[in-house]
Amino acid sequence: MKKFLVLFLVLISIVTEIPAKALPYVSYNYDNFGDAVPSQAGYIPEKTVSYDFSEPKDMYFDNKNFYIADTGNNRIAVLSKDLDSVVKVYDRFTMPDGSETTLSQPEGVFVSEEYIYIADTGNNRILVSDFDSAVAEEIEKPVSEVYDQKKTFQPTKILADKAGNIYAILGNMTTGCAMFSRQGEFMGFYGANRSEVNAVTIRNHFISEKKKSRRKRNIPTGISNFDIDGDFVYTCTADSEKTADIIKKLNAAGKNIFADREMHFGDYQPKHNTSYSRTEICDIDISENGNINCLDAETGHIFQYDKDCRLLFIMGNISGQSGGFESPSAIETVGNNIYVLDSGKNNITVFTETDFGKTVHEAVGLYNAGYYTEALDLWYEVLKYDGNYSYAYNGVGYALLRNSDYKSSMKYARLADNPELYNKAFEEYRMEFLKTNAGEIFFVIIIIIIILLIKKKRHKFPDSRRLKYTIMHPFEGFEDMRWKKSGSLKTAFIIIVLFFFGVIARERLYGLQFAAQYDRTFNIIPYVIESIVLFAAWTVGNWSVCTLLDGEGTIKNICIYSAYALVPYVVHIYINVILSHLLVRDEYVFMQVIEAVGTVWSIILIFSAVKAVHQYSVKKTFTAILLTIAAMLIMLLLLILFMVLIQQIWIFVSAVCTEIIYRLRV
Amino acid sequence: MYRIKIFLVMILAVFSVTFSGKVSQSGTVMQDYQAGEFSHCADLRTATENDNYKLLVYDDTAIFGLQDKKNNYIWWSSPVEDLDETDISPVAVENLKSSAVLRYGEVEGRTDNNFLRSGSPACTAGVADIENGIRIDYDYEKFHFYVDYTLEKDHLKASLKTSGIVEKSGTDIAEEIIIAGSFGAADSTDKGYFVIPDGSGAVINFNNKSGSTYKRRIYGDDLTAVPEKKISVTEQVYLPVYGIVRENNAMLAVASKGDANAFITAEVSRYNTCNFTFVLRNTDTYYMSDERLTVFESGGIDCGDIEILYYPVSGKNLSYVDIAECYRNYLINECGIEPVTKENYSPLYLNFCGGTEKKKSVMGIPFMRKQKLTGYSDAERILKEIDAENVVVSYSDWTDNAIKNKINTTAKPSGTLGGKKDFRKLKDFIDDRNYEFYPSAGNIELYSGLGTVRVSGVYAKVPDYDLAYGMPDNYRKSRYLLSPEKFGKIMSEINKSYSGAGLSGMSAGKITSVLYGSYGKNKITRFRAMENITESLSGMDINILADGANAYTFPYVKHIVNVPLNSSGYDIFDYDVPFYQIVMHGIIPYTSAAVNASPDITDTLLMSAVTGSNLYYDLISSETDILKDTEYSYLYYANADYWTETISEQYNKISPVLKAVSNSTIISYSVENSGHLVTAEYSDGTVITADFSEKTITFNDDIINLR
Repeated sequence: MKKFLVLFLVLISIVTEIPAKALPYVSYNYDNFGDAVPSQAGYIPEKTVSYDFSEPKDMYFDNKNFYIADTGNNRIAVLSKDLDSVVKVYDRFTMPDGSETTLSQPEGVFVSEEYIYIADTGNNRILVSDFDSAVAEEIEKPVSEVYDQKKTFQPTKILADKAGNIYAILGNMTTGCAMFSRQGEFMGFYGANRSEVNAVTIRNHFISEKKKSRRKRNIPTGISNFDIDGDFVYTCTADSEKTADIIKKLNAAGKNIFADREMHFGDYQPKHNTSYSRTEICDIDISENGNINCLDAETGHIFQYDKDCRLLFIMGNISGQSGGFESPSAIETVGNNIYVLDSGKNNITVFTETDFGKTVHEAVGLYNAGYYTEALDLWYEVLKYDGNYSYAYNGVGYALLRNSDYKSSMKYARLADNPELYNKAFEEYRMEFLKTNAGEIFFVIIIIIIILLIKKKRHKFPDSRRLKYTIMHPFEGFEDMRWKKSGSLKTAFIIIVLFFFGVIARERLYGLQFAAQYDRTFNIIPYVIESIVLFAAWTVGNWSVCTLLDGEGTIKNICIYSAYALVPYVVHIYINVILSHLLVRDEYVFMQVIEAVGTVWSIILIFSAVKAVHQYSVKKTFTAILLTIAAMLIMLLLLILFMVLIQQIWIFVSAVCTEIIYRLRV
Repeated sequence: MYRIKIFLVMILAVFSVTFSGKVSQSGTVMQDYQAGEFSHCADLRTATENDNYKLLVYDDTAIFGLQDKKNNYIWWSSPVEDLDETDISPVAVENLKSSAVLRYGEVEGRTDNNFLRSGSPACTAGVADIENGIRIDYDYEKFHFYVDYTLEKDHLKASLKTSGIVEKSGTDIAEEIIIAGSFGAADSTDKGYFVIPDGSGAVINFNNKSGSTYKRRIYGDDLTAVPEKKISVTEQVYLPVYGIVRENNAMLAVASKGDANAFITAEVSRYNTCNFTFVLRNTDTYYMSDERLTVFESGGIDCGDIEILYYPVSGKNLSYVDIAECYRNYLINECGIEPVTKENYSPLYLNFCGGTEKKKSVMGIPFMRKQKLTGYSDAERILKEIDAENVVVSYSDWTDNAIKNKINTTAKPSGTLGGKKDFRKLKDFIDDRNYEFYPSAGNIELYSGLGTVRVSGVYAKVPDYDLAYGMPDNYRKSRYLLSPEKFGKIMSEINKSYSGAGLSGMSAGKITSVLYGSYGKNKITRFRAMENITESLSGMDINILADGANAYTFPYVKHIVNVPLNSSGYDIFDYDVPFYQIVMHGIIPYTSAAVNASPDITDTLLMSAVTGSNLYYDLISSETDILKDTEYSYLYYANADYWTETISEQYNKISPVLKAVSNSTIISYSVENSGHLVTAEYSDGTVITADFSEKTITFNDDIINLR
């Protein structure tokens, strides 16, 4: 009977191969702004191999065979490298005392040169067996102070390092993976995720211990899977809420090498719907060339990063087509192929590198090894097939920088939207330009000075002399203006318009070395609010407050005086915009100084203007300004309330309209 | 009578055991019947016959059989053996036994999943003789309709007049109908496969254990029913056919009428079935304060009549190539399609994209502006750089209206792209070289106008979908669909203005490959839209280049570009076949999708050579970075600066192969060595072999190395 059973279990596998070359999705990548853009495919599904698995949860390749944790069938299946045959099935093992044991819902498998390590999840144990099914070690729940004895032992994933230390992810633990010595001794936890600092953590500092104990604690998410590459353990975490610690690279001491670097893994939140995020990385695999491959169980996307975590390719989706998955559970790489195990379809999909993928990998290899110039031609080849591949523009930019072709390097930095590279290239380019054109530049400067000296002072609009005087004499200018009853609304209007454009320019016309420009989400309203509405609120607020405080200023005068006072601030914006195209990042301090001067100057002028227009004392001016700010805040609040009301009415009206339209139709 | 029935069932059961359910079992029974053994059996009788076929029918169950006189093989409309209900659900048994299944909706209850199966006891199906065939009359409590089966010279014709569908109660309305859904059903021991024209074509082996079903609309989904989310990319079903292939018997089924509203459905479970499902009325969902409502298409059934033709094929070792040949003959003989291919003719196909709208900043404020991608003089320069004997040039978005996604009917060159003078120069250059010129017209996705109306009563707005998550991207403007009632007017205007401008051809863009209705007050179903399209195309004096072509446009097009080399790769498929190509080769010249869009160009060239697909490239004359955040962001591969040399080289390597067979049909196609060695044989005797491991093409003893 037993023999029959074994035979029956061995005969399970039916192989069907589906050659498939098409993609069931639009191949995409992310640009430097985190927007998804269509992009050439680095991998395509080559074939799908179906087996008689039941919800297989893990897969490991030991350079000879694939080991599948066939969870639902309580066994480990061994498949040949080309996946066309079943080499062996492990479903019963001999314990050291000679008794026989079987698996229950094994969710993880790992193979070293000597042993097969099995996370025998349903039996709450780890089995270490040799290749003849003889169990060398059985690890059960550790008895240790560090291990919370109230919790069961639920190993889900497993691996071993060169020294034979065993690491196991426990499904119900968030304190990192359990680490065991070669002899099965519990050695503590390794590589726990950080708990993220958020509003709750901050609040916890202010509430009593008692209250705290009742509240839900801010617990870090447990690690979902890991892989070992040389001396490093890479972990991944399935949590769509968090961005920290999604992928970690841990050294032997458990320190995360990626911790301090700003990196993003998985899909970005779409800008048009920022509440949406679904990345749940369930498995990770490091390829031979050091690339990091992560599998997203939620979206079916596979993300491939180079060893510096720059995104190379995205493939896969959830669909009933080849290249799509139902419930992907594990990922492995062999050479240039990526293998994905699907616990829903019970099959393995093989992705192969495309010609394009090969070119990118070669270019990235050279680039990461520092051979920028050698990679140049390959990067051009990449751009031939995919002009949306921003990594390639970077590659070309750095190569050209090294080749001292600074102008072209700047062009490619612009195409890559890479401020850092642009900064470097621009600095070199500026140096070169100054060196070669020193004579001409000197000559031009002299000419300009001469022209300025000779030129008769002509003013475009009559008020400019007044304007200049007022600004240059902060403490008497406005008084003088008031006595002479001068100042024009037209000038004030021009200043405000310039202010408005200045605010936009400050955000959007800076040199690339300081900021990359992003057009997609441009919305003019915030700029209007920041300039015109703000000024209007100030004027109205000040007028209403000062009418109550016996101020003498009319609304017209408040408007004119305040606008005049803004001039240094507005001028500084334009100066900085121009400077941003001439300076490099290291010289940013000049712009900061100019900004400080412009701002302080305008503040003094505004103070002076309020004082003069209402004929206040210094103390009363202070009071008036503070009250004006308060009035502005109240107006803002009312404005928001009004907007909310309008929105509600709009929703109501549109709902009624849809209903009416529908009733009319039916 | 009852006893005889039991006797027959017993005999059948015995046979099913004895012959372990081989395909031929039903045939065997029949031969016995012919020998007169069951001649006293009143149930199975010969209804009619001609030189080639016999139509047999069981009067009580309305199950019929089509017998091929050449080898006496019978195609049954339902499995005639005893259906063991232990391994099939009762519903599945009813489905298998039904020669017609009607799905209907209850308007009051808003339910749309009610079925009437003729195999169920609730139905009285009467069989009556008509000229050359039988009429099966289905009478239910709520509905009444009849289907005629008539024997024609070389096929069996099933036809249903939709005007003959009687909806007895006003509140229950017919939604879908399946006729002869189990025709040719194969059981779990049968060997053979279905051929599905999904994309290039695909094969579903009987009993392939995929555990999934296939259901796709012929001629693509109705664009008006804009999906809420889009994740999966699929290929279109361009041909209204499917095939059943068994070793020595095969059958082609053609939806010759009603195809505009039909689905192809295939299922592999205990029994393997493949059929057409005809939509009589569409449904849509409507959200009223987050409540999901099912809305039915209003008004009467307006999907035209339904007609399926079944062509049995018999012979030795049949394959999908025989099905394709049968369909090709049908197209030529029945649809009057005249081959437009020429001998020794394989032009290079280039598509220039003229321009698009893009946000450009003025003083830091972005505005939508026209953006040149390929000017007329640029196009001329590129053409000069490319070394090819013959080029078919299509030019999309070449007028201001097209660039701005407005209705575009006038052949007026855009100033942004160089104006009249440059255009004239380009046209003269193309004429001088005897190239063919197809500037595009007839875009259907518009930024302005009101467009089509969904079944739910709202205007259809087509958004751009986010690439990562598949949901609408609100930062991009959504578009309206040109109402199908306007096709006629627009095409005649285009015809006039193109002819006036001296242009002899137009690229019809997507008009030849999309089909959608508008379900507002002026209801235009897909069937009417199809009529409008064919009518307007037939009135064109200028030549038409199609970007993907549904079967009904074949009589009117001179070239088809973008014919896929693969299927959608559904889990139920076992492998892809170039069914479309085998049908079309030697009738209308076609190309694959843009070669330079492929991530594996060498493989695409190999596949193109062996399937007789001409080479097609997308080109623009600017850095592809400019495409970012425009509707053409997918043209990331099209920068002409990189491509002119490559194209000349690739064209001159592949075109000798394609020219040699340009006027022949494909007579055999085989794949060996797990997909690495593909061989096609053409009617003129040429054999083309593509070796995907060595990257070589062998033809007439020449070896072309693409490495």
